[in-house]
Amino acid sequence: MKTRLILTLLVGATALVFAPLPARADTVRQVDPKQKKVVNATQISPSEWSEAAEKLISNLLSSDVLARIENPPAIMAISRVRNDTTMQIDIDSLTKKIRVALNQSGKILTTTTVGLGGKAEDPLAKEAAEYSQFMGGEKQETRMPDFTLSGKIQESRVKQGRETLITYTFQLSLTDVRSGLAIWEAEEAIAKTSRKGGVSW
Amino acid sequence: MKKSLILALAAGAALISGCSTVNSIESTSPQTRAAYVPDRRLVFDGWLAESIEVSGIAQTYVSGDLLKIEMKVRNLHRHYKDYRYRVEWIGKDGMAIPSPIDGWKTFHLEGREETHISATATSPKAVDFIIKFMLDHE
Repeated sequence: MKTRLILTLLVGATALVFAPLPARADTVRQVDPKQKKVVNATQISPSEWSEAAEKLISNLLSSDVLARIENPPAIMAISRVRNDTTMQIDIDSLTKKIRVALNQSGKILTTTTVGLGGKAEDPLAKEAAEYSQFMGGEKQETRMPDFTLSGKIQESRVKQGRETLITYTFQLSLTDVRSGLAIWEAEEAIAKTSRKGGVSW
Repeated sequence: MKKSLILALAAGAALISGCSTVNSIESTSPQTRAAYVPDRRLVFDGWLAESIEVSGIAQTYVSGDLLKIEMKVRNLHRHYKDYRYRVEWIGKDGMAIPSPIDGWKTFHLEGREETHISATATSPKAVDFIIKFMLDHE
């Protein structure tokens, strides 16, 4: 009787071990991209973009630079923000948040018809202005930027044993076009560690 | 015998948990005159309330008309902790003002460490604020 019970339990346990896992439906749910925290060694997550942007925006708004603008809103153009990381990243993930914040503040607006190398971010707006000028004969007034925003995103990886310290540094400068001087500069870093597992299969 | 066993266990636990606290030095006659705002606290997580102390919320205006707040927070534990906070800005009409940077942010405090956390409203329409705290479990 006892042997039979042990045998039954053994067969049951073996069946459980070798049985294919029950098919589990993938669950998909919406999350708040600003709330969900995902830390990845090879990517900058939305929450990290948000964190870097928040620090830079707070730094800019807390400085006296915006208070010194004579006739707000001033006009800002986005210059080169260099990606010095090993990743393919969309710089807009950072600059757009800064643009939205500055727009909300009412101190600085961003031009979409004046861009780096003469390229307009919104070519249709530029064409429409030119067409309107051609048809109406009236000279359209495109406001030239008072400020430009430029910067760099750097990546550094320092390894010690199994642990790697990954640091992304965000550097931004706001330049006064008339004087050519950087009237605001800031640097913020996001660091994370990645640890390699001891055993790999 | 029992007492020494408890002490040894406590010391062992402290050693395992990586107990590290922070000492700080400050002026006895500070020159700062912060404008602290009276606050009302809603506590739903008693453990969190005993874990972090928010000792003063100061407010000022920057860039002319943008509300900036700063609070002093202290980790009441003897070991490091990760927390999250979020600031919501409220307009004159009592409605929340969306901001591109209003998500949850993480901060890290060593044992008994006190630090300042600040936030700046991106809109001049912001006249009030709500600060939310939670433990960072992720």
